[in-house]
Amino acid sequence: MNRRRRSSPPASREPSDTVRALGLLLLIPFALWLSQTVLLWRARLPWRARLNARDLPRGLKRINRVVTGVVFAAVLLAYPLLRGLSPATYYARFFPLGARPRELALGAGAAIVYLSLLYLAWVLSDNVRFRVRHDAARLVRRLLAAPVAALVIALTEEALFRGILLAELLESWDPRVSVVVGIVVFASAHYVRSAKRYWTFPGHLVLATLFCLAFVFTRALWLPIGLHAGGVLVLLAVRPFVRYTGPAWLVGASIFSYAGAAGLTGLGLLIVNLWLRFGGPT
Amino acid sequence: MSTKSQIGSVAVVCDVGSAAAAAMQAFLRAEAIEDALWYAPREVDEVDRAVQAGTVGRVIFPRPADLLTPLWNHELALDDWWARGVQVDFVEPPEPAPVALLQTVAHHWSEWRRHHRRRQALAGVLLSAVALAAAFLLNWAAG
Repeated sequence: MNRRRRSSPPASREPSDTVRALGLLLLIPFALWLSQTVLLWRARLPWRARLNARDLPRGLKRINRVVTGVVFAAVLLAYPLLRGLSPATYYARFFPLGARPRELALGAGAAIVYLSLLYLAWVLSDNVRFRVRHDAARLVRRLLAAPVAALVIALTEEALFRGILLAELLESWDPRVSVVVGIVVFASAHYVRSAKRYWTFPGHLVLATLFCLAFVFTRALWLPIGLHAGGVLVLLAVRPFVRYTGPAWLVGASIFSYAGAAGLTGLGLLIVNLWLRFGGPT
Repeated sequence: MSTKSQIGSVAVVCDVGSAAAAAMQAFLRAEAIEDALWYAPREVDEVDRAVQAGTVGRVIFPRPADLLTPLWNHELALDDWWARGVQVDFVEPPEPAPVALLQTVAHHWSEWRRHHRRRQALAGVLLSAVALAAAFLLNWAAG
C-alpha cells in the first residue's frame, strides 16, 4: 500500500473563492447558450432554451465547437487570475513531480484493463459485435483522433471539475459534502446539453465518484486524468466498430458502457482498487 | 420453398431417435430417396459445409423452425444455398400463402429472440463477472 502526501495548500484564498468557482462554472452553459443562439440566428433557425445545436449547418457546428473550447479555456485561465495567481502557479500544485506522474499511467492502465476485459466478455457472450461501420479514411481519422481527444477531454474536465471546483470546495466545506457536490455537479453537467438518453445518469454519478475520490485520495490530477483519459480512449476507439446487441441494463449503449450493471460494478471495483492502492483520503 | 437441383446427395437434418424421425422416413419413402445422409440438428454446420463444398444438393428439415433456428444462429448461409440452387424441403411445410409464411417466420424470430436474449444476458452476466474479477485482481496485483 502506498500512501501519497497531500500537496501544499494554495498560496492565497478568500471566502469568496467558492462563489467564484461556482459562478464561473455556471457561466459556461450561459456562454454556450449565447453562442448557440447567435449561430442559430445566423442559420435562420429558431432560438431554443436548451443547449442543442445538432441541426446547425456543418460550418456553424464547427464554429460552435471552437467557441465551446474557447469558453472552457477562458474559465480555466480566469479562475487562477481572479485569485491573484498565474495559471501556471495555480495548476502546478496539482501536478507534483518525482514519482507522481506514474499515477497517470496507472489510472489509464486501470481503466483500459477494466473496459477491455468487459468488452471481451461481451463479445464472447454475443452482447456486443464488432464490425467496421465506416469507410477506411473516416475510420483512420477517428482512430488517430481518439488519443488526442481522450487527453483533451480528460485534461479539460479534470482541471475544471477537480482542479477548480472540488479543490475549492474541499478547502471551504466538509470533505464529504464537497465530494457529494462535486459528484452531482459533474454528473449533471453532462445533461446541460440536450441528451439522447437520461438513464445513463446513475453511470455518470458513479463515474464522478471515481474521479472525485481519485482526486481526494491523491490531491493531484495525475490519477483522475489517467483514469478519465484511459476510459475515454477505449470508448472512442471501439465506437466506430461496436454494435450493442445485449440488454442495455447490462452492457449500456453507445459510449455509455459504464452505465449498465456490469459497468457500474466495474466502476465500484475500480474505486475499491484505488482505495487499496492509495489507502483512502490522506 | 425450393429450387430445383439434383447436384450432390440428399441431407436430412433430424434426430434419428426423435418423434419427427418417423415422419421424415415416410417422407423419404414417398420421395423415393434411399440414400439420404442423416445429420442431427446440432450438426447443421456440417450440412452447411457440405453444401458449400457442393457434395449436398438437397436438404430436408422436419419443420421450417428447424431451418430458422440455425439461420438465426448464423450456423448456415442460406443465401449461398439459394445461389448454389440447393433444394430445401420440409416434411411439414408452412402454409403456402405469403402472409402465413411471413407469420411463421415472424413468430419463430420472436421466440428465438426471447430465448436468445435470456442466454445472452446470462452469459453476459457470468462473463462480465469473470472479466471484472480478472480486472480487479490485475489492478490489485499492479498496486
